[in-house]
Amino acid sequence: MKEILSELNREVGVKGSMVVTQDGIVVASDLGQGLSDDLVAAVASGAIQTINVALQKIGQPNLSKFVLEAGFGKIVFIDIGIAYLVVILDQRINMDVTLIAISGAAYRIRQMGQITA
Amino acid sequence: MGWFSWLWNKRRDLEKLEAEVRRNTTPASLAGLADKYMQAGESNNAVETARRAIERFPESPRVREMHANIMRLHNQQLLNKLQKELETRPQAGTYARLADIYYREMHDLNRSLELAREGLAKFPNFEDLHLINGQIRYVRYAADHLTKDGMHCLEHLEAAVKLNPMNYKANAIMARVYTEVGAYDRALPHLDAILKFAPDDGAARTLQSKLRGLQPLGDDLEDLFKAVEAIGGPGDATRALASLFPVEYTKGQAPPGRLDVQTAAANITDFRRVEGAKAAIVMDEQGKVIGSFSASGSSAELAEMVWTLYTTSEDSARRMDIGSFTRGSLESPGVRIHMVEAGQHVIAVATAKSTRDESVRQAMNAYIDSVLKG
Repeated sequence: MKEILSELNREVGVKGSMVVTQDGIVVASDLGQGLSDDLVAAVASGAIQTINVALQKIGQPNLSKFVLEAGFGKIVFIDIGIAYLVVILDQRINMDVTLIAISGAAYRIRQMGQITA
Repeated sequence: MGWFSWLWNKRRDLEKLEAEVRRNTTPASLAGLADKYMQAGESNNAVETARRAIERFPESPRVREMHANIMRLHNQQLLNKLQKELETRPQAGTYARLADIYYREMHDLNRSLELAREGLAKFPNFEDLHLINGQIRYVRYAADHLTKDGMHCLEHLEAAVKLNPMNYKANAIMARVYTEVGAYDRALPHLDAILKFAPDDGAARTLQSKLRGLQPLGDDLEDLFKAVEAIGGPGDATRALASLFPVEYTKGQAPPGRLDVQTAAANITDFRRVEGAKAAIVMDEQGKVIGSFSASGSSAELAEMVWTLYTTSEDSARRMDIGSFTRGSLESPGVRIHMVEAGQHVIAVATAKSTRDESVRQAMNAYIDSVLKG
């Protein structure tokens, strides 16, 4: 799994990636300089939990993908079974191209069968 | 004769567009004029128009795109030359110059910050690199008032002043920031420093005399920043004091635009035209709904969902030190929600999963351009 993350991190503009459960347990991570496992896991699990609760309130299942763009960076969350792939990106990247690589990585992790209910 | 008539017609088309911009200055008219100048080979006019446009409509997606393209073309040669110098014989000054072009000309703060950081890793005692790092953090601080940006800004500017106590910009920004958060005792030494080498600076002298004798609002700098962040900006008293000493506003840090609320409410129904649109909403940053439409039922559920998404995104972005939320999209098996922040409002559209992202993006950009106040 770490290899898949490392490969994903070689894409232009990817600063780091992590597989984390909704409870904040880090399954695997490969974060770049200046990013800490604890912080990313805490932010990701907090966001995923809050959004999933809000979706349940309107009768929707959990999120399958959430892309957050901010002034100086982007974060992508993708559902991969009982955990989420979280990718930290540079603000300037071409999102359409990078999302293909992220979706590919998410698919490969899902296929590994390690992240299943 | 053909050549002259072609030139004549081209110029006449441009004059028509210039008149149109004078009559009705909108993001679309300015972007259209800049593009036309570029096509006609009038690159100086194109650059000037692009600069005017980004100053007036900094949040318009169309203006931003046009500005980035034109400035990239305009600076291409110099950028290539400096980039090559970095690859072959990296020098501190080259990092600083390149970072400055990305900051001032291209408004690409990320690339500029990256270069300044990279340069500082190699040349930690280069004043200009600390200055640009501090300036960019100041731009970010001025936009969102995040503690991290404020602290990093001061850290780099203090380093710049340590290397050169007569650095006016660094002293000026620090005097302003310290005043804004109420650290008056820390602002004073920077005003004193400015007045030593610029004794005729009336604004610095006015602020200095106002701050003398004032008790700081606290001792812990981080706590002072956090207090400002909690209320979304400086309080009235500190803001009034800081405004006595205006710091040069770089184009990249233009204050956020505003929406014309009535037009925003009326035009929200434009999203009906997006294939698969289920609902759309525009709300202010306090969660108050300004306008909405729903293809079926109430849009209250969407409002609650959007508010949760927006506040969660803001919180996540701040904790990750990536600035403030600008855009987002959420996908769940039954719905897709697209959101964008513009003019201190949040605009969201819920669509079917089959709706093309590009058509929603285009509709959102057109909506923003139609409701932004110049």
